[in-house]
Amino acid sequence: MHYEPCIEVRNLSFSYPDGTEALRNISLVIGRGEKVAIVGPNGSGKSTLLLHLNGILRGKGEVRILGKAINKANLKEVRREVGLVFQEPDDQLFSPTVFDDVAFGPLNQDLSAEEVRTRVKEALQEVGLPGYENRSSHHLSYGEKKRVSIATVLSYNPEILALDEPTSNTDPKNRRRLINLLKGLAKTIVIATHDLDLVLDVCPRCLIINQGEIRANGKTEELLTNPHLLESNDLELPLSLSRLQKIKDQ
Amino acid sequence: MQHSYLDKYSNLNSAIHKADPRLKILIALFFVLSILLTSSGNLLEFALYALIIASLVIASRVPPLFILKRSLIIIPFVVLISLFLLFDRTGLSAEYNGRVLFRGIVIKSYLAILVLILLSSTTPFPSLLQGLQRLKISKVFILLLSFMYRYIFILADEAMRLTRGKRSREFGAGKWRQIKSTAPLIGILFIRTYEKGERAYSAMCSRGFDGTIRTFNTINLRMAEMLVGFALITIIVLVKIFSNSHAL
Repeated sequence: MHYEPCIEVRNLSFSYPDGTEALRNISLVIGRGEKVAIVGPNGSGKSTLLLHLNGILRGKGEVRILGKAINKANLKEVRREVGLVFQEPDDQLFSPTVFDDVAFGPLNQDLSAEEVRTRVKEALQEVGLPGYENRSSHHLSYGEKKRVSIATVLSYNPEILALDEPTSNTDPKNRRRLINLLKGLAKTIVIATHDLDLVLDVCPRCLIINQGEIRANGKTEELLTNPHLLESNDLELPLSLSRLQKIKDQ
Repeated sequence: MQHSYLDKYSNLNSAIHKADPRLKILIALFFVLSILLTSSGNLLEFALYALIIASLVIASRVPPLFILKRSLIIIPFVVLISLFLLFDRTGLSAEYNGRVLFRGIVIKSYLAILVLILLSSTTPFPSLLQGLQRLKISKVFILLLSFMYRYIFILADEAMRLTRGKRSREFGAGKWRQIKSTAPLIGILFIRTYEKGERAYSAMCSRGFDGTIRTFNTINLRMAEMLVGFALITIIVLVKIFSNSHAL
């Protein structure tokens, strides 16, 4: 397969106003169509890195999306290509109805009313919530909110999906649904998470970051089966693998 | 956490529910103005307005008990504000003494709140916003209302969780200490609200928000509604003329 870089990050560093160094000299390349997980403990800088991918935060260094370096002038273009889904659905969903929220992105691209309606319908179909247009976000279950959040970016069809903890706080059934949804999407996907079983299932490649630095970058099956590497970065073997290990030991 | 809808019953299917929100807003506004411009002593006019409201409630199929319950909320505020009128012995004249004014104010605010409750329980909040927008109310103001509608319960939940957390740990503390620990709670609620606002704004920017609020139109004014609306306004005007020439 022809490898075409989709996201390129070079020597990216970022400190929050209170002085916390959240990212230190991060460099990485993600190819078009790749599904990559960013794994790390709480406060490791995963979410901060995601916020750099569409220019919400701008640190020192360079971030290139589809070959273009992010700058003030092309922010709108970049954001059209990078669909960012926040961890907390109540942040992602800010409109009175589900329809308004899913239509927000397409409307900002000045699409025709007909086109917007079709996009909303298709996006809700894709996340398995057809007919939810007139529901109010406040009365959805948490799992439903998580799925609507993904629909709000699918509706404007970005090339890249960047998701922050897509499975956090969801029950097993909703979690499985989300995993199947992410597996089925033909897009470049970056997932920040510490749900390692999700990573095993969805992402062939993974990055481990800790204290704002990339500690490992490679094949998921190699990194997530290395207990020493995981433990030295405040992580542990994925549950499914550690159970397997126990059975083997017996 | 579950809260009742702000606009409960607004999804029923009566003619009033289906009407264009712009028309409903304008009629409600006109009706409230007519009520407020009634002379406090004119009980006949008040009675006729109450009659109109009652027939509208019946036509809307919203349970009257629900409207009555909701309308009671306003009474303590009005009574508190106008209470001092009762002790005003001089008044404007013999006819307009404090008691008459007090009665007038209570009746006026009560009727006005009934009209507004009827409006909000026959119009889903999002349609109400769309109606306001089409009536050229400033978009910033509409956006504010829409965020309020979206986040008010989330904040109420947040406040409740904070209070629960406080109650679970304040055993044994004296009353004064308990009161004192409420102040930081309010501060924390403010900070969380502020941060939530920032994150929601980031989410908006991520999806291409550039300061312009784009929505599209799904409401259409039908001729029949227009005529009914016009008839309603005529009735209100007629009530005013009639009751002022036959004042009790």
